[in-house]
Amino acid sequence: MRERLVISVSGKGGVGKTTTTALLTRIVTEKSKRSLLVVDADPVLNLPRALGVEVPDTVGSIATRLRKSIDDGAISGSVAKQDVLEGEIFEALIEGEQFDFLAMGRTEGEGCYCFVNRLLTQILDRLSQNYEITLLDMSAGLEHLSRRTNRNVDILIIVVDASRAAYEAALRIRDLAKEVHIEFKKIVVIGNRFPAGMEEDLQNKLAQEGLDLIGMIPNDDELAKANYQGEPLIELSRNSPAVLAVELIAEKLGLLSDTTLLKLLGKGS
Amino acid sequence: MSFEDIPVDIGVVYEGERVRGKDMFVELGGPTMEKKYELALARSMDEIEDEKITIIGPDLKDMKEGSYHPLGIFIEVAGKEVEPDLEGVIERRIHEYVNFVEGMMHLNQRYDIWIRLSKKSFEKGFNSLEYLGKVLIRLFKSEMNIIEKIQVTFITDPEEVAKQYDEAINRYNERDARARGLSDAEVDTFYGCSLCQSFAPTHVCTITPQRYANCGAISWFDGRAAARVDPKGPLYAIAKGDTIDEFRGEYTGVNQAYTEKSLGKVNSVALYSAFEKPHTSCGCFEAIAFVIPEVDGLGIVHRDFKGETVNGLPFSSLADSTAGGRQVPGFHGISIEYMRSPKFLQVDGGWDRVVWIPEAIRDRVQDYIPEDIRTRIATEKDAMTISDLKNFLKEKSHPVADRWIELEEEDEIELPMEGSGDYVSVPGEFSAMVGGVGGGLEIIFKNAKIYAEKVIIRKTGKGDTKK
Repeated sequence: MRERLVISVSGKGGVGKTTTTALLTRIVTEKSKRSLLVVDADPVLNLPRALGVEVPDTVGSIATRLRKSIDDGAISGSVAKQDVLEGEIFEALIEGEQFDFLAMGRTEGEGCYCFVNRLLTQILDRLSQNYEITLLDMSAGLEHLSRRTNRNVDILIIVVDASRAAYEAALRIRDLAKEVHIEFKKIVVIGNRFPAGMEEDLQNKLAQEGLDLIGMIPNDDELAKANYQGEPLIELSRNSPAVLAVELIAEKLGLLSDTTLLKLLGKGS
Repeated sequence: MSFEDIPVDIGVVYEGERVRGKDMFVELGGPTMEKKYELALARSMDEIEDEKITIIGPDLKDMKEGSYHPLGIFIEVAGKEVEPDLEGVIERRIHEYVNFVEGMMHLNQRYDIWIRLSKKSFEKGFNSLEYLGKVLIRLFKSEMNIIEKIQVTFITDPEEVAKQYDEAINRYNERDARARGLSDAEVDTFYGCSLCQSFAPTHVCTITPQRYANCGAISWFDGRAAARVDPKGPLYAIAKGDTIDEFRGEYTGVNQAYTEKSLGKVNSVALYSAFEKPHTSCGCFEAIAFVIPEVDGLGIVHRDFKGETVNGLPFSSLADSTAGGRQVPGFHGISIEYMRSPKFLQVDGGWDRVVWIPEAIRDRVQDYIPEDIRTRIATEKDAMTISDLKNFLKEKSHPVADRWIELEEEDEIELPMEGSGDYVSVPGEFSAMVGGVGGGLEIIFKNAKIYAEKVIIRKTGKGDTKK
C-alpha cells in the first residue's frame, strides 16, 4: 500500500494559505495520479472559490442540524448518532473527477459539541484514510492546534509573507505544536510574495529557528488578477510564475514522486 | 469459515473503505433513491429455508456501469433464542459485514442505506448479489450463535422495493417505540463518559436507557455503539452491578465507576435525585435544575435562555454553582432529553417538584409532563419574582404549595417572631469563634441583602487560633 499523507497548511491570516492550498491541489492533480482529498478547515470558506467548486453543505451545518434534532427529541432513539453522522458527511463530500472536497464550516448555537466533535474527528480520520493525500487548509487562529484537530498531520506547512507578524506567527505555531504534543513528521515554511532576493536571508533566519524553507511563491500578476476577480486559481496558465514555483515545492515535498517523499519522511535510503 | 468461492477478499481491514464516485460500478440505495431499506426479522423455525438467497429484480451483472438502483435487504433469522428484541442488533451487523467485503461500502442504516460497489471488485468477478448473500449468511452464523436458520432476500426491482417499504417503516417505528420504553432494569450494562473530564476532572457521566448524558448528545444506544468501536476511549461500559435502590437509581457498578474515574472524590450517586447524592455536573449540561428554597421547589433553566430566571440569576451564574464535577445538592446539571424520561428527578417528586421552567423548554417536553401538573408550572410569562411565583403556585394549587402549609405551621411553632418572615435563621451550634464569642448562638439577618463572592465556613478544632 502506498504511503498515506496528511498535509496541513497554516499561517497568519492573509499570508496566502488558501492560494498555496489551491495551487498545490492543481499541481498534484495535474502531475500525479494520487487520490486527493482537499479539506477547507477555515470557517471563512475561501477555498471553494479558489478551486472553483460549489459547496452545498458543510460539516459544521450537519453537526448543527444534528445538535438541533437531538434537542428537539426528533432523532430516533435507537439509532446511534455516529452512524447517522458518518453517512451525512459522506453526502457532503464533493466528489470531483480529480479530487474530492469537504468544507468544514462551523457549528452554531451554544450546546455542547464535545461528543459531536469527537465523532467528527473519528469520521474524518477514517475518511482521509481512503486517500493517498489529504490537504487541509487551516484557519488563521491557533485554536485548531490546541484542540488537536491536527493530530494526524504528517507535514505542517507554514506560510509566511514579508511581514514580521507572519514570521512571529510561524514561530508561535511551531512552539504550540510542540506544547500540545502534535508530532508532525516534518514542519516546513513557504515564503509568499517576498520581494526578489530575500530568499537567502529568510532561509538563514528560519534555519536558526530550526525551520526549513522549502520554497518561495513570487508575486504573480495573473494570480493577483484572478484573486481580485474571484476566479478559480486552479485555472491559472501553466507557466504562471506562482504555478511553476508551487510545482517545485510539490516536487520537494515529494507529492509528485514516491522516492522524495520517503526521503523526506526519513524512511527511504 | 472460508470465503474461497467469493471473488474478492473479505475481512475487517476493509471496514472504513470508501468507494469514491469515480471508482464505483453501481450505487444501491443512497441519496438519489427515495426508497431503500434493510430489515432484520425474527421468524419461527418453519418459516425459513436455511441459507436461501433470493434476488428480486436485476442482479449486479444486469446493471449498467455508473448506474443507481433502489435496494431492499431482508435478513430473516430463526433460532430458539432469537427474539424480535434482537432485530435491531442483528440488523446493525449488516452494516459491519457488508463493509468487510473488499470494494463494497455500506453507510447508514434502516431506510437510509447507501451501498457502493467498486469497478475493481466487479471486474474481479463480484458480479452477483448471491455472493453478498453468502458472505452475510456465513458471517451471521459464525458470529451470532443464536442464529440457527437464516435466509436473505435482495430486492432491486423498483416496484417491489416500493411495495415492502411501508412495512419496513412500520417495523422501525415499532422498534423505536420499544426503545423509548427500554428501562434501566432491562439492561445489565450502563455507559460512562469522561469526555468532559478535561473541564471537570471528577465528573463522570452515567448514561442509562432512562438517563441521557448531561450534554444531551449521548443516548444509551450511542454509548453502546461508541464503546464497541473504541472500548478504551472516553465512552466505556459500566457493569450495572447490584441494584441498591432501583427507585433512587443506586447501583454498585455505578458507584464503583465513580470511585475509579473521579479518583475517589465521588463514591456514591443516586441517579434520579437533584438533592441527595446527585449525579455530578460537568460544564456541558443543557439545563440546570436549581432549588428555589422559598417555595421548596425546583426551577429549570436551559443554556439558551437569555436574561435572569425567577430568582434573579441568569443561567451563567447558576452554572457556576453547578459545574465542575461536584455533587451540589439543589444544583443539578441535566439534559433536555432527561426531562422526557419517566424517571426524571423521581426521588425528589419528579415534575410535581418543578415550579418554574422557560416556555421554550416546556413546549419541547410538553408531552412528557403529566397532564395534571402541566399548567401549574410557571414560566417566565407567569412569574419573574419569588413573590409572584408563590402567588402563582398557590393559585394553581401546585403540589409544592401543600408542602408549605405544613412547613409554615411548623415555622410558627418553632420560631415565633416579630414582623413577617423576612429573615433567614441559621440554627445550630457554632464552635467557631464569632466576634470573640464562642458557643451556641443563632444568627439573625433582618432585612439583609448579602452579596459575597465566596463564603467559607470552616470547621476548626477547639483552641485553634486565628492566624
